[in-house]
Amino acid sequence: MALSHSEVSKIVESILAGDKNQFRIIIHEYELMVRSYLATKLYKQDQVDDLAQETFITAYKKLSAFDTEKSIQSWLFGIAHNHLRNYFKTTKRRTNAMDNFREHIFSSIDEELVQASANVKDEQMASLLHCINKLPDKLSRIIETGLKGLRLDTLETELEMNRNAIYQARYRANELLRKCIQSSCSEEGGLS
Amino acid sequence: MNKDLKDLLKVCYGDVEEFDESRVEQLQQRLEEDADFRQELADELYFNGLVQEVQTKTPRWLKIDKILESEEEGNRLESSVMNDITSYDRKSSLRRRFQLISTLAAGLCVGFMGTSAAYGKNIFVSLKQQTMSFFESFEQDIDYYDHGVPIEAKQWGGDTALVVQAENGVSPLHGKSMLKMISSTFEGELTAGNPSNSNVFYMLDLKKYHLDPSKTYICKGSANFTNASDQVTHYGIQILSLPVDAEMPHKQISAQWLMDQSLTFAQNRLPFKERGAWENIETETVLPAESRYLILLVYVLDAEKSVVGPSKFEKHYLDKVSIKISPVE
Repeated sequence: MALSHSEVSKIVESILAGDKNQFRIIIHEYELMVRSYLATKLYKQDQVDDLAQETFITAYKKLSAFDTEKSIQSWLFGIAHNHLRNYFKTTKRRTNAMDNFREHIFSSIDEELVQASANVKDEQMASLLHCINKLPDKLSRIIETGLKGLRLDTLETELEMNRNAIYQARYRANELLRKCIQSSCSEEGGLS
Repeated sequence: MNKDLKDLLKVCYGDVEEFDESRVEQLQQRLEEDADFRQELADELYFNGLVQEVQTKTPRWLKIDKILESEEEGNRLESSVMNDITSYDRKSSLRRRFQLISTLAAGLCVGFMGTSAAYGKNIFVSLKQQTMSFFESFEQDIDYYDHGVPIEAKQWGGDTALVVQAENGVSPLHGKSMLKMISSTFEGELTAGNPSNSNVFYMLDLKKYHLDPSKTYICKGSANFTNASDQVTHYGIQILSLPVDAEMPHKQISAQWLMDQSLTFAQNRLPFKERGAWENIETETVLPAESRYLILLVYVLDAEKSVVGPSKFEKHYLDKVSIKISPVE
């Protein structure tokens, strides 16, 4: 977790006392987490950015209702989750069995997603770009492309790998990245 | 990776059109009963999201900025620049900037030789560690301000430059893009014998990163350049910091003004050693507590310039620029 309860309490107190600028600390500390959380459920980057901004605006407006004894991260994810739900309602798409299953999966792992974000420390995040840069070319390409959307079709042709192999390679790349960010803070790989 | 995890990831990424009902039931059951598996799935999904977002340009959230800035004191530099930019005297500014480089080269300022990681992208701030890291590799379309010193924080600006992909036999050092430094765009007279530079600036508003005023900070800048042409050129890096009460010029921000107002600065300059090879340069300085703005300047310099007029640079590229601010232990 980026900030301790006492740090968060202090910041919230200052904001509620009128120092709006302190909210930037909240944004800086949790922006990447919130965007990453939204990115697990949204395909397009502009949607991620818009909903992340709306999440922080709501958080700012409702800050007086935040219980500083609780996790601000969970609270922000809760707000993001509500924005997601509203977003999906307003952009009502035709749903099929797989869409419904997808929704079921995400509702099953909401708490685990909060834990997943807490598992990555902020100093490790800072090393992530360096670690991505160190990956072998093929894995680096898969990381750059991501697993979403039609770009995977192009990737299959470009790398001469089938879908399953790409997923497997992505999993392997994530393993390497996790190891790298855990060790790189004290090594050359860190952002230094 | 086990098959259940792979199949669920595929569903989450919309990569499956259909599963047998029995397979869906099987996966649902595992999700319900296996807490470790749920966590593994969440870790994988979240990490994929994080990897995507960390490679993405930090969004500029104008709505929330507006809400927060309504009572924010200061921002004098940014607002003043915005107000004055219409009357920006480019010709004079560039001349002054040119003089700055010449002055620095003459050794009037102390340089710190350093030996130290997307465009407009990632700034990481850790309150606990009291560090702030910035990394740029020019991966996204950027708002490059090509009329001199940038007009606001978190923006690149300077002389004519362009984000390009691999070209002229040069591949980006990181990612798919890099910055091509094109010319000094100098339109006035040059003193014979003086070199000419293509400058690129980046400005940070340190107030937004809440550094502890009771601590001493070291600021390190790092950049990578390559010259794939036959031109004899140098490459350089400078860090300047400006105080909270920097007196804004009425008409322009010039390099001379930056130098006059700077609390501290550090520089380093090197000749290109090998054609087409990426070469790293670094510099570092102690950051005075009263610093409000940090300016990073990276440049290429025509080492053979001896005639009047602008310098054009061919096949000169910049990539992987970083700034790290950390407290002195």
